[in-house]
Amino acid sequence: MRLPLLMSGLIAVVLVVVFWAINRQIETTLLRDGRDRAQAAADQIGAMLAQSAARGTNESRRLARDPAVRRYLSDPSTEAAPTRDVLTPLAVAGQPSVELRTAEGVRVLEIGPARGVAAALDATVPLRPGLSAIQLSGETVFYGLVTEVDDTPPPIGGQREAATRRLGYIVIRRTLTAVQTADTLNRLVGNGALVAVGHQTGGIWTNFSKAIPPPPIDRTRNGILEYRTATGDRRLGAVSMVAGTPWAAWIEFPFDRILAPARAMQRRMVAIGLVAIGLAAVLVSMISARITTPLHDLTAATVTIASGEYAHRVHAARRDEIGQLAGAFNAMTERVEAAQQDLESRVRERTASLSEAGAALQERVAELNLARAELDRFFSLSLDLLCIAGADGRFRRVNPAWQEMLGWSPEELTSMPYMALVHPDDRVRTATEAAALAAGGTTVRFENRYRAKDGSYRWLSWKSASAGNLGLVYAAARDVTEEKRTTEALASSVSELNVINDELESFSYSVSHDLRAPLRHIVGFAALLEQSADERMLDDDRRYLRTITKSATHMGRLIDDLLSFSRMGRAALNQRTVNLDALVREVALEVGRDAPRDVTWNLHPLPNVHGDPSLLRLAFVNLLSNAVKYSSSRPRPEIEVNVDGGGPDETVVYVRDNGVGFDMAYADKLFGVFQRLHSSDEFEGTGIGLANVRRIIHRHGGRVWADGIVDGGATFYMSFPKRGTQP
Amino acid sequence: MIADLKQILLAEDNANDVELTLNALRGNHIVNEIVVVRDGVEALDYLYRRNTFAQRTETNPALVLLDLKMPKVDGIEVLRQIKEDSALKSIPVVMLTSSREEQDLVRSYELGVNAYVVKPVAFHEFIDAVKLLGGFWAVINEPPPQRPQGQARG
Repeated sequence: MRLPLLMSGLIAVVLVVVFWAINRQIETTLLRDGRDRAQAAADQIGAMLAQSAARGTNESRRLARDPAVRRYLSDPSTEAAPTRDVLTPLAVAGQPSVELRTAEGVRVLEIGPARGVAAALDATVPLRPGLSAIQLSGETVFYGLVTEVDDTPPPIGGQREAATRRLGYIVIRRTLTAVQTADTLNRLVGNGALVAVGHQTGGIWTNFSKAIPPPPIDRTRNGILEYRTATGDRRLGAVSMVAGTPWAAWIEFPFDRILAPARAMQRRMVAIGLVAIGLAAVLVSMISARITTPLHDLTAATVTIASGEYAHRVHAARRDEIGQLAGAFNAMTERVEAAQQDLESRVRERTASLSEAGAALQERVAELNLARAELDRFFSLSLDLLCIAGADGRFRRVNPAWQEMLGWSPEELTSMPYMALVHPDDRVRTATEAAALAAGGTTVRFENRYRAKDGSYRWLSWKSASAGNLGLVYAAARDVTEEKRTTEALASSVSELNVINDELESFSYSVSHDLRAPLRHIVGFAALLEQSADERMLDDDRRYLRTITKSATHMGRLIDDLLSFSRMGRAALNQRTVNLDALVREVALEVGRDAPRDVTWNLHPLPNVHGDPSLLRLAFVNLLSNAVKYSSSRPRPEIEVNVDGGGPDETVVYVRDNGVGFDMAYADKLFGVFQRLHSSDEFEGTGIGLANVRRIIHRHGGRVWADGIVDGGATFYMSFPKRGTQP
Repeated sequence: MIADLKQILLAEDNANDVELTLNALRGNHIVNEIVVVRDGVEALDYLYRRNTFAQRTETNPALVLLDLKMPKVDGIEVLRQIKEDSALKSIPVVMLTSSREEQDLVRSYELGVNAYVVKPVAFHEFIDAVKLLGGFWAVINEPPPQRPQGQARG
């Protein structure tokens, strides 16, 4: 409830300030206007009076020169009627009569509607030409106008008589208390205004109905005055000199009158202000009820929830921001409640698992102690050399295997730098390796020589790792002296083998060129001889020639096969995934084309293998053409290619025919070079084919073997290692 | 027409092979004049008109038959020089060799040989091979027109 009051108060203060400023402005303006108006009115009254006085004076002077007036005054005994007629215009209704007085001041004639009134007035109007001071006689305020009458003739021919004689005076009195004058003036300046006239230097002042006290201002010049009367009324007055007279006019307004519009304005402003404040108060109350109350509820809810009552919710039916806030608040509270429950359950779980972990930890410590004891036992038992070395280049701890192998006691080993035991030729390498280890590296298979107590050197192969932060190196070493010797021997064998292989290479190159040339010549010239000596030759001669040709040709084939067999052993394997199925079908088609009779092929689906496609193709060409060759004597040759179980590590493929077969007693000779189980008269061939097959399969990491029965067909098996199991 | 036939150059060091090859060419009715040289140096002398062939006036041969294995400069080298020379490289070159060595085959084709023939042991096969070669390159196949160097046309 404080907010509406505060707002209303604020608005009230602002309104008061604004209204005060406006009122000030209006009052200032009104006062300025009032002053102007007062001054203007005073000037106007002054001008009216001046005009009226001047008119009376002029008229009076004109009549003073009238001969009738002069004559009568010269001799008052004459007929008065003509003079009276002349002076009649001066007689104004309601005003005192006009008098003619002699130079001595004796009244000789009185003209006017109210004769006798002049006499009733104080007769002490001084006989001095001009306007008199304003005078008071009883209740009547009046003034006098005295005009001298002399005998000065009218100027004729520019001459003027030197002497003039005063004949008498025209005396006129005018009252200033005429009621109608006051009414007229009041109409002019408005009700409530005071219009007054008086003598400049004090004396009698009148408001045209009665005598009043003179205004409290310097009356000898125009001016404006604001003042307070004795009763406390504020007034504004203006004084204006009446030209040609010793009088001054005074106009006075009460302040209230001048400021009346401002007062009305004030009242309206107060009314408007009150209404505005009231409206503001109502509006603020409404807004406050709409915003403050839900916020208050929220605050109360926050306090409730803070005290732990997470189930508390606030009313959130509204659709505005407050409603959203309340909704969000509720959602938050739900999450807080959920989180609280989750947290509590987690704390319970953690507490439980912590106590479990505590128990497990104790168990673990016991296990670790045991493990440590075990490790110590292994350390002592190990056949390998185990050691821990420090950054200072000395062993910290060695196991008993050191003494067994090198003869040095653990005390000897830990008391000298280990570098002293390293072979002088290996020290630089060893230092480099030790530096790399200290920098956090790991050593695998570093080899160097250590001196035994008997002066001999042993090759040690090291595996080490550093525990960088401890500055320690843990290392295990194995005596590889024997291995080293074997490796060296092997390396020299390999290099010898390479030399032999190179020699073999150039040998076979020469064979392929130089051994074939003479054979070609033999065959060639035999053919030429057959042509040139055809007629002269006997049948035997021709047979001899053909035998020569046949033998030479056979030898050419032997050389070719032998060379290809030799190349097969040396050529690098170009291994990839081979679609064996497609390869075998293609070879079967090719081989079957040259077969002497139709062969029934039973080709089963074969898996992919990993190998050199051209070599595998050669192997199958050999196997399938053998099968065709040795079954060609059968009425219905049949050849089957299939997979035979095999194992998880290898794929076994076999080629089976229903040909002449072989005696299993000679099975070991099947795959030898130039080994034949049939004479070349029975079946042609060089005895290289199966040797090639075996060599190819061996080079792929597989095996070959055969089953056969004489006249019962033969089966040739080959195995392919599955990828990944190949050494 | 026959008089216009260009020569065939045969580079072969083995006299037996020369005789057999000539026989085979004649037997196949190839009538071009056949120039026989005994090694790679002579083959190049012939082609570049040097030394003993300095006075040679004939145009470039219709075909060069090169034995792979020859004294002094072997067939591969002769092939390389022919195929690197803009004036000679349009001459068809056929390698005649006893060898089945793959390395020689690959090398020859890399250098741009036009054909590669492994001399078979059997004579009639050899005759067939030569027949194909000589017939195709010397008679049937018209080599690109000769462009004599430094000689105004007219």
